[in-house]
Amino acid sequence: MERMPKWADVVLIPLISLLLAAVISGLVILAIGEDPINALNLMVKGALGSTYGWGYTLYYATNFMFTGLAVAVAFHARLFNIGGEGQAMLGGLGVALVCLYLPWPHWSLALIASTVGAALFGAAWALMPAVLQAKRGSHIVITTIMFNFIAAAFLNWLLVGPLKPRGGMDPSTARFPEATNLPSLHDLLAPLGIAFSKAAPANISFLIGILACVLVWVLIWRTRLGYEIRAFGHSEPAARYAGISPTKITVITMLISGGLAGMMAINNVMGEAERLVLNATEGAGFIGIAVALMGRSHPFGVFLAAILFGFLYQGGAELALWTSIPRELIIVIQALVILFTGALDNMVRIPLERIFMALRRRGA
Amino acid sequence: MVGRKVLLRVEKTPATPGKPVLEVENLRVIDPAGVERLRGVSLNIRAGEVLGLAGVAGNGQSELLEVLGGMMRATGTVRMNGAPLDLSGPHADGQSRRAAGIAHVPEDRQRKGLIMDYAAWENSVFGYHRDPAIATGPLMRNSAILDHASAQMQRFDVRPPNPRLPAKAFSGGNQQKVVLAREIERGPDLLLIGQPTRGVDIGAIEFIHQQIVALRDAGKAILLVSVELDEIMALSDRIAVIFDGRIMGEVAAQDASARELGLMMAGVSTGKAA
Repeated sequence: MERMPKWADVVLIPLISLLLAAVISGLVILAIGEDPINALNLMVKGALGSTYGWGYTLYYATNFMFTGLAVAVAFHARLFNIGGEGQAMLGGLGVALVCLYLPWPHWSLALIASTVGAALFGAAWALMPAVLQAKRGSHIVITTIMFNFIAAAFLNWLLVGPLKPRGGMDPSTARFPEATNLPSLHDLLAPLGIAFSKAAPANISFLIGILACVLVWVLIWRTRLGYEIRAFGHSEPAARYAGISPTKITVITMLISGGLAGMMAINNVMGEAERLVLNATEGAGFIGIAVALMGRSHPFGVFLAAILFGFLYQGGAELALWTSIPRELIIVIQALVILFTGALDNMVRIPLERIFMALRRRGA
Repeated sequence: MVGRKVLLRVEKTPATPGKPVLEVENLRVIDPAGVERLRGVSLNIRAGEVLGLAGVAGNGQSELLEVLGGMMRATGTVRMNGAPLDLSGPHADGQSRRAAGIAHVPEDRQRKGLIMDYAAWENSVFGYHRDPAIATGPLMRNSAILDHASAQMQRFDVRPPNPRLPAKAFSGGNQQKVVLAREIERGPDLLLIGQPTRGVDIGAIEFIHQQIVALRDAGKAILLVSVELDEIMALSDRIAVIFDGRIMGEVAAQDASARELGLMMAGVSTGKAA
């Protein structure tokens, strides 16, 4: 017998947790001498009040969707992939190589090839930690986080050396050719008669992100591989009993996870910067962990959490711009959201379950 | 307590053993700590008989089940229906064992036999989930599996017969019925069954015993491992005793006495050693 209805579990608990996080955040803002209502107003207006704001919110959300899915897939196999950052950086390299060194007649073909390139490079970066975990038992948390540093150093070297165009003054690749530039949401929505900000970076990758959410859902809950990934995540001895190879599942899951993280690059590298710059990922790989936690490793939850974090990112930037609230406070707010939705889940769940039990008893 | 008379003795007719199904020769297992767990075990089981393996827990019977079930590597020879099994190579896994006609009800159903967080219907194909009959390409046909699980739970008297409940929501006896149903209903040539009634209520014990005898009467081979000597004596046609990784001896079930078995279980040779 479930202790409470499903809608309460899926909707009510996250909502209450979010509300609590908002209240505490308000108190923190109050404590530094600012007006929390005004701050919230600014955030909402800045992130959601215009198509320009939405354009940034959805752009960030797209990044977080990919990295969030990456972490979520690994979570299902009880693997903690902290290497999304490095995998996304390598994904950027994949995109850059595809866009710079292959001639593309049309952006659609370039997008398909770049997606594959990004996924391959991201997956390749996850391969070694996966093999080390599967064969040698080297802990994946340690190895993936170390691989983030290796990725960063490797890209630094590439961007000040081999990939920097002759005469370039900043550590980045040359601009990608015109034909590889992705249509922005402005371009996509204009034929439908919807006016969307031209300056905002949200682009067609957002739709690819949604598609990725759907495909990951199918993978995890409808395919044989997903069945094996979840079984392995729940119990390794049981997986062995069923003839599911722990080595194989660990490696395959990490390849999928790394591939998803790498695919983020079609948004930030191909869609926005249109060249590969230093630190292109801007920490999105780490935000992915929070997104997966908050989304309970469910693709739909990841989608919603990614939008929320996109909102926090964009709203936070606005706050820093218009008030004396420092940008770092946004990190505090994000941390509070993670704390309440992830770590303090039971604080809301247990009283709520009691309330529902009591209601049911009265009803019976 | 169960609302009716409980049959403590299992009613069964004498076995009519057929051709050998499982032949084990000189099986050895050394665990990661370097301890030899099986020291040259040899035994065989014929179609239509139950071989009971008696022994004090920890004398190698768990390892024997795991080797035969494909969960542990070993050296030696095992032939299933005359064909040798891979004991240490790439095919020493549970999938290959199932393909060879070996079903396995593991000793620890909660850690191995079931995924406790999976619904009963998901557990109803655990280990057989790669069967092409329940898949369309890479997709599993979940609604078909659900329907099949629902009917299966009715047949095996799993209570409540709700396939959507997670395995952890069932009592020990009903969990065991879910495992047993899955392993028996595909008609394996050999059933490995470890501690079939450990932590199972008395009504379910009777049911599980009946299922084991019915499988035997259908001409299947059964290796029964249990630390319950009464259970071994009630169900088996032949009884082998394992001590310290070795088979101490083997007796026909109708000639067996608890005293003789007990002595062998303690490592005392009674002169009938194989």
